[in-house]
Amino acid sequence: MEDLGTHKLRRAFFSGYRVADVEILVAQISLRLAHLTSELQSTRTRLDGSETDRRELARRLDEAHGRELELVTRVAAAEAERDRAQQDAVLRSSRAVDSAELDAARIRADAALEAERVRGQVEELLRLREELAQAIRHVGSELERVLRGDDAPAVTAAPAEPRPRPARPPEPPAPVPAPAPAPQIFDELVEIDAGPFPDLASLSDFETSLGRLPKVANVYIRRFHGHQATLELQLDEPTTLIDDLARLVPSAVNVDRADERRIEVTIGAPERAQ
Amino acid sequence: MTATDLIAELVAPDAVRTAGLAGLLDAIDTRPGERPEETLLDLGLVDDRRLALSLAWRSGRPYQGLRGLVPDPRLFLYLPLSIANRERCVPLALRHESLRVASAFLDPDLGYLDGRFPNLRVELVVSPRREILAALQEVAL
Repeated sequence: MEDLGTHKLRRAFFSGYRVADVEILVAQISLRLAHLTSELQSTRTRLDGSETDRRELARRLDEAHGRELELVTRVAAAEAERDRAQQDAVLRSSRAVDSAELDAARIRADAALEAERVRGQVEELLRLREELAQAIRHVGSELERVLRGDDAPAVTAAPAEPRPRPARPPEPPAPVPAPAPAPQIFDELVEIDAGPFPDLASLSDFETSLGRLPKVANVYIRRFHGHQATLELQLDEPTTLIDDLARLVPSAVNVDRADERRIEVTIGAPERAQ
Repeated sequence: MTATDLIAELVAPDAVRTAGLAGLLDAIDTRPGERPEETLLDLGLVDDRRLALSLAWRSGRPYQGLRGLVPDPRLFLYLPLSIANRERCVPLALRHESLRVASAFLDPDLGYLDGRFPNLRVELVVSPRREILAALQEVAL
């Protein structure tokens, strides 16, 4: 299209421009206007198409975002489920291992106890067998002596075993006046089983009284149940206790049994101070 | 047994005179969530051996002194050390299906044992708290 600014209008002879030039210019302008209008319409059509494409792409983008979020959520849930299952499996296996170890320890302990018990039985049987053999040898020698008509007691070899058992019990010795029994000497650690205690105060009084006995360094209540108590006495040195018990403990004490490490006493009503 | 009963029975009279009964109860209230017996022991108002003997006498459970006890570490597979520390307990022996446990108080929470070992019977005895903690210290070392 030619430039309208280059079109020359020639002057008319009397006034204005020549009609032909003006008409040509007007025609050119009209043509240019029509062309521009057509181009504008075409551009609008292309713009509308582009807008439609843009909206479609935006819709597809939104859909893709939605699917992405959904996938991320599913992946997170799957990972959480996997972690939970893993922890559960670890916990279950740990419990199973613990339980198995405990069962194994118990079985081992039971087996050890059983083996110890059987070993004791075997040793006891061996000892009995040896005693029986010793008795048979003794009876045999007695029988030989009788068959020989020998009145003197048979002299047999001294038994090698430390605990020979005679076939017959020896004759009881003639009764002689019994000497006064030697006082019982107790080790440095003595257990006293005492009771019944009617209340805690009586137990406390008994404990305090024991603590005041001579050569008693420490008194400790080891067990107490059903009105019966077991007390441990730590002595400074081995000593006699029973006389002191009867003499210095306010509660009436009756000694039922006693050996080097253990005394069993019955507690009666405390004696009233006069 | 309430805290008032404990104070009335076990707290030394001198302590009551010094702090006053209301003061002792206030001291208990300042430590919510703990056993009142524990507070009394921590404050030195009650002797733990007397408390254990008294609890055993009232409940009919056996009293067991733990002096010199070296606990069997394998027993803590049944009662974990953390629970034993928290509940002031120490396992003493396992006989067949019965676990003998020394406890400083009458109501230790041993629900873990019920859940983990439903066939295990728990036999509780009462022991002084100081001796229980000393025994647990042996295990921790």
